[in-house]
Amino acid sequence: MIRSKVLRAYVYILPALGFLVAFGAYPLLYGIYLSFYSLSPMVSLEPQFVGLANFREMFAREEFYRYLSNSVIVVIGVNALNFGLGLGTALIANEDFRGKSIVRGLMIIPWITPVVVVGVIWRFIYDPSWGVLNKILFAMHLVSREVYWLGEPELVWFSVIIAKSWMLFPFFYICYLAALQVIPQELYDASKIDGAGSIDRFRYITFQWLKFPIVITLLLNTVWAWNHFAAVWLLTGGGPGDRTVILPIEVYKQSFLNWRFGYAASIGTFMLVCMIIFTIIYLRMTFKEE
Amino acid sequence: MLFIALSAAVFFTMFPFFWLVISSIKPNVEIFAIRELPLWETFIPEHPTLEHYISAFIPKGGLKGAVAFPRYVVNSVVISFTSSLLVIALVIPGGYALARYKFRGKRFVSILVIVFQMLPAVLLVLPYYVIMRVLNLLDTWYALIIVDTTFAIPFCIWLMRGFFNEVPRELEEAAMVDGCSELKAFLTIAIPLTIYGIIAAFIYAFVWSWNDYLFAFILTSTMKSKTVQVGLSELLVWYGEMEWGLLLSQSVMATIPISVLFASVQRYLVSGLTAGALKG
Repeated sequence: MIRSKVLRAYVYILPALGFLVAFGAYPLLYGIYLSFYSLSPMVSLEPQFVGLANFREMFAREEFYRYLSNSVIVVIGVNALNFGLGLGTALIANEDFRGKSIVRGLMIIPWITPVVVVGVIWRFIYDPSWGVLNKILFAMHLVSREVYWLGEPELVWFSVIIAKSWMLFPFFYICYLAALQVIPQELYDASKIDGAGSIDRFRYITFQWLKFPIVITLLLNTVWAWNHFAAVWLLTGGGPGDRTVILPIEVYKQSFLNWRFGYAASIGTFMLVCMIIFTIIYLRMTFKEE
Repeated sequence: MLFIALSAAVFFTMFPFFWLVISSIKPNVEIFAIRELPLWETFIPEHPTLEHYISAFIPKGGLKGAVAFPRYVVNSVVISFTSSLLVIALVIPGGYALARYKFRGKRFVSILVIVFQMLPAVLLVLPYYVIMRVLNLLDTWYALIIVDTTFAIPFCIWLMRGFFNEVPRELEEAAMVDGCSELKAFLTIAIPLTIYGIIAAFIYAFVWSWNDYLFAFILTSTMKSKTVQVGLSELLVWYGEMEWGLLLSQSVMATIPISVLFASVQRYLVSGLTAGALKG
């Protein structure tokens, strides 16, 4: 029998921790390690040390900066839209009305749909010939020719960001709604007595309580949008051309189309470093006032 | 005013789904004749049919996606179920340890959970590919089971920790005073009281595994182990005309089961999630 409490704690947590270390930490370190090597699994499984060559190549390529800015576009666009939608729907859902719980339950659904299905749904909606979006626009005489939502360079980001936001905003919605529900009603009542208008009420009560969830959700969503591969890939494949290639897609292309694992890993490491730096700066900035 | 905003929000959320399901029961003629039909008729199928659902299981003269679908479902079910079982086996003691004991590295695990959410999955794909290749596990169930378990552990440990925190220590202590060992108290008292958490963790891990695309895509290559998600994505081709009917019906079939599962436990998962967001 295990007497020592501390020892017991370690034994209980060891399986989970061991698993994480073996299949989480080790691969991560290996991935970062790989960015200093050149590895082409088609040729051999032996990595060759190349030092900083991968990174030098990465920063020298002109497309890399385009892909980088694409990633930034996605992050900003999705954050903005999700924040607006999430906050808006949370505020609405917070009010009392009949069917409240049903509506709340329904709002979650886009978030738990598999990415692939999200891709299918939106590809189907955006399809130039069979898509319902074009159909509606035609019927309302708003367009005279087929719109290639995912094919035209000017439109594709718009389409992608809307689809991604549809998929993700419930997360914001849930967090904000939960936060809103904790706000004590007395605060609102007291402020009404003091003669505060609804804008003031929002500014001084609601918004204050929402600050922390907002900071957290924006951070998590930024990281998530930065790292996410599947949604954009399934919607556009990086196209038209390479117009919507974001960094994760480039990592995929370099590793499984060009079979250059080392170079791909260096892009991945770059992504990780960016996120770490961003997180540190972001948290410092937002908590400086506290 | 509120009503308008609410309706707009619900509409935006639900319409894509509604459209998916409605379209999946349309015969091909109606799907591809959308341009000719008047607007209101596109939303109500004239001849609703289950042909696309049936053809997912019974090949209709050499349709590409048809024969594979049942196998993909089997693969997905096995992988998701096994990895979820593995996850709860690991996080039940793990969460208990985090809740009950003080030990060095406890903080470390909490940070690990958060850090894990931030990792670029694409960076991890490469090592996984190499590791699985070396272990000869590419294109097997084991590869995905291992990866899916790894990714579900952080959140599930967090969840179980929360649930174990709610179980009063006094109950276990009372049992131990009566001569019960700590282990027995853990097994017979603490665990049963967290059964909702266990179910929630299981379902979270299951849904996560079921929905995963990136790892399933990279680590599988043949029907032996491809999941439903990968199978679906293969029908989303870039050339020629897609088998929309099949795609739509399979998408519905891929989504409904887990939506139901998730909906049944969303209360617990949401509180676990938002506790993290609210209290930090």
